[in-house]
Amino acid sequence: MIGLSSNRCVIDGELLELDDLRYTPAGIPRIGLKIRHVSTQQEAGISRQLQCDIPAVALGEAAQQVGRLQIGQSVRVEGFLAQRSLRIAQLVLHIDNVKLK
Amino acid sequence: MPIVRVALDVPLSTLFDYLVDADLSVDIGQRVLVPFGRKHVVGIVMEVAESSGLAVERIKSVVQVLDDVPPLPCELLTLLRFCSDYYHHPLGMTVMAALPARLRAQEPVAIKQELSYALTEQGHALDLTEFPKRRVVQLRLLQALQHAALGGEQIRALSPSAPANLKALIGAGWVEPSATTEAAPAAHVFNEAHTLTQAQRQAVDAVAKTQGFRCFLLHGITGSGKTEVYVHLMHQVLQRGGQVLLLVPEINLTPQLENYFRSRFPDAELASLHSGLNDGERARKWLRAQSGRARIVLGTRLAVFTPLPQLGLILVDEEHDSSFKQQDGLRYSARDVAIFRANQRGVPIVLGSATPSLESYYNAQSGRYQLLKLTQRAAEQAQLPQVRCINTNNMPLQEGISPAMLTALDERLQRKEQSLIFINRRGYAPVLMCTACGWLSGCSNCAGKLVLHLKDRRLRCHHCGHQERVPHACPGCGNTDLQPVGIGTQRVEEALQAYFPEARIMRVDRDSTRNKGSWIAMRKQIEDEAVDILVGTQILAKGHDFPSLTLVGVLNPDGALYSADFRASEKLFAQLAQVAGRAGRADKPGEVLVQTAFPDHPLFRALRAHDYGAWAQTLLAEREQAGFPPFVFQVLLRAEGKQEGEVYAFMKRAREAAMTLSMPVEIYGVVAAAMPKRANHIRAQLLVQSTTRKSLQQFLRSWHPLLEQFPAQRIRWSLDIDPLEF
Repeated sequence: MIGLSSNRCVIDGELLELDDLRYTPAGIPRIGLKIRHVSTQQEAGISRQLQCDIPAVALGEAAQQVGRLQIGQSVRVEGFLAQRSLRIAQLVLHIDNVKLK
Repeated sequence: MPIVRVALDVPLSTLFDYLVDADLSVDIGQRVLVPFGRKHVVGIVMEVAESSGLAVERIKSVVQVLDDVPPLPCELLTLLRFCSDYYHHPLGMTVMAALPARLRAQEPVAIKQELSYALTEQGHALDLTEFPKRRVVQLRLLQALQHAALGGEQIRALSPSAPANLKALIGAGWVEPSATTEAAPAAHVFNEAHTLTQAQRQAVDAVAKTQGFRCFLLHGITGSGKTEVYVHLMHQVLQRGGQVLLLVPEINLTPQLENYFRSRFPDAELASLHSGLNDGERARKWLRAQSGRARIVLGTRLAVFTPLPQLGLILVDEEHDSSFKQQDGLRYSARDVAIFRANQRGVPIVLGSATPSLESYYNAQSGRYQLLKLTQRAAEQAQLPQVRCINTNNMPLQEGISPAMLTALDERLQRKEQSLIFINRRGYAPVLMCTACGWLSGCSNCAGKLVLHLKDRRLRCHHCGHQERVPHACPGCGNTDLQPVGIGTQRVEEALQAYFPEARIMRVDRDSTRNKGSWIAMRKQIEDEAVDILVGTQILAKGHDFPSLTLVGVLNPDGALYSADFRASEKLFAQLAQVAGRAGRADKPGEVLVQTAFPDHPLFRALRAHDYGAWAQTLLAEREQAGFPPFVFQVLLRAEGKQEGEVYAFMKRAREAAMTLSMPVEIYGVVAAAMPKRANHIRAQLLVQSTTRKSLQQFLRSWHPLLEQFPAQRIRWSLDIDPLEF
């Protein structure tokens, strides 16, 4: 399995949007959010600036943590990427770990 | 020695011969205890004969004649024979199913003696002007008792606290109970509270002047006062000493009507018969009807078999309602049986509805039934509600509710008027879905989906009753973020509560009205205006009168427009017209908003114009073209079993047998049922139709015995004559 199961993503950014905390039908907390990432990265040996907004979601314990954040706070989030749904190919970051920076 | 032919509750279409010993006397219609196999069972004597086709030594004797209740009248036995013949159901099972459970049991029919209450000498001596005015109920009781002795039911009708107050009066020595006084039927009293409109008067007169059998279709728009027509017709029959049978579709409607009729005919004994009664009550009321004491019999479909010696009139309210059709055992239509019974007894029958069934409407058009129309609302100020469609095509909806609907609800809340949101699906959402992999909450036993009930976090199958906890994650891929798809009453209730936190919202569906008496209590709350918004299913659609209700909103009715069931749109129109009729029944104008993606559909055009006639014409043209009822008569053979192969093998034989008979019928199928698997049973069906009832019945008389010979140990099959559900 090594080499085929890696899906790990760590992003620093600013909390741009935060939905209301909701619960799945089974009662698991769920929250949607958006993170704005701004940084400088190396590409083809050249330093470049980039900015991107990353749609994310957190479920369970992580949702409770995310729910306590404030818009504008700087955070480091960690999780895996998955498609929005069967029909929508947009990637969404599923957060399982969040830290204030 | 005489022989009796007895109907027994066994799945064989014959009667059973028994000897009667010389010391016993037996009448037709009497209950007898007879040996059957190793047991003794109760049966009904259908015939008395001099000899039997069987050798005498093979015939057993009647053990006992149960003569504690009078024999069933021959008229009823004839009716049951007809039902057995027409619906091709074994005679013994037909007869026994019609009886109250107590009459099917071997034990003597012990009926609690109804006590009646009368004033004592001291009670008569009381000067009521001196009686404390604060004891309102006691005073009312004493006044009523001065007039005549009262039975328990009449006492209870006076006030909910009447029994307790009666006890106090007995304690004081003013009132005494007596078991014996079977008061002769009191003089007929009729509280003529309303003056009839001209149309109501014409309808009453048309029926009243009828001699003998005639079938009337009373087509009256919602709120046009059909009940008032019934009351006046009843009055005329009661005056002549006759009995009236009134059939209603819903057990929920009986208490409301019962109270109403009691208030109009305070001295006429009324018996309400429905499945909510316990065995003792039911047997007692049945016997009251059989003795001719109960003058008005009000009941759901099973009441059509009540013995009524002085029957003078039959009324069928909401005649289009599918609850009149029994869906198992003897699959009879109480409306159709009632028509046969009226014909047999030579009395008029009135079928009432705002949206008659196409069958009845067609018969009225062709002149077989006489059409009586009420086209105006009875209360002068009451206008028909204005019906508008909200086009939801390409409109993203929050929880299925459009902004226009929310605005309309808000206006009602401001004006302190009631609203009703109609959505014919209970639960939170009809299905739970995993958007990551496409998994749907299917039922493991059925072809249907499990419905999400969020309140108790369960998934429930509305077909087989299976239920399970809501899974934490998708069983297919493990995704926890499962989505409820679609809307049900619970979801709408929750969404509306979020929009209008101050509003008092009540959900009315089968889940919230499950406990005995809860719906009665809820209706009281609605009448007391302790509710602002009602969210409910078709329970709310039928017959109820809520004076301060001015808005009816209909969510998501489109499914029935393009359904495989050819009656779906007929039923939808009836349902929407009924539910729309709840709005603006008193002095405030009503409004009906229908959310639909097809506002130009003929159904909605007719609904907006309150034009049942136009809609019926559209449907009749469609049906005639397609060769559907009422232009043909149908019978549906259904079979189900655990092994698909066995079910289809049986059906294939049935089809071949039908083809071989080569009679003038059309044979369609074998096809899978609309729900191809239910409770782990595979279901298939075969439709046979013909342009006349007669040729269909002739075919069935040849075909049915063949079906009974086919091996079918591990499947269940049934014939449904004039089926309503497919």
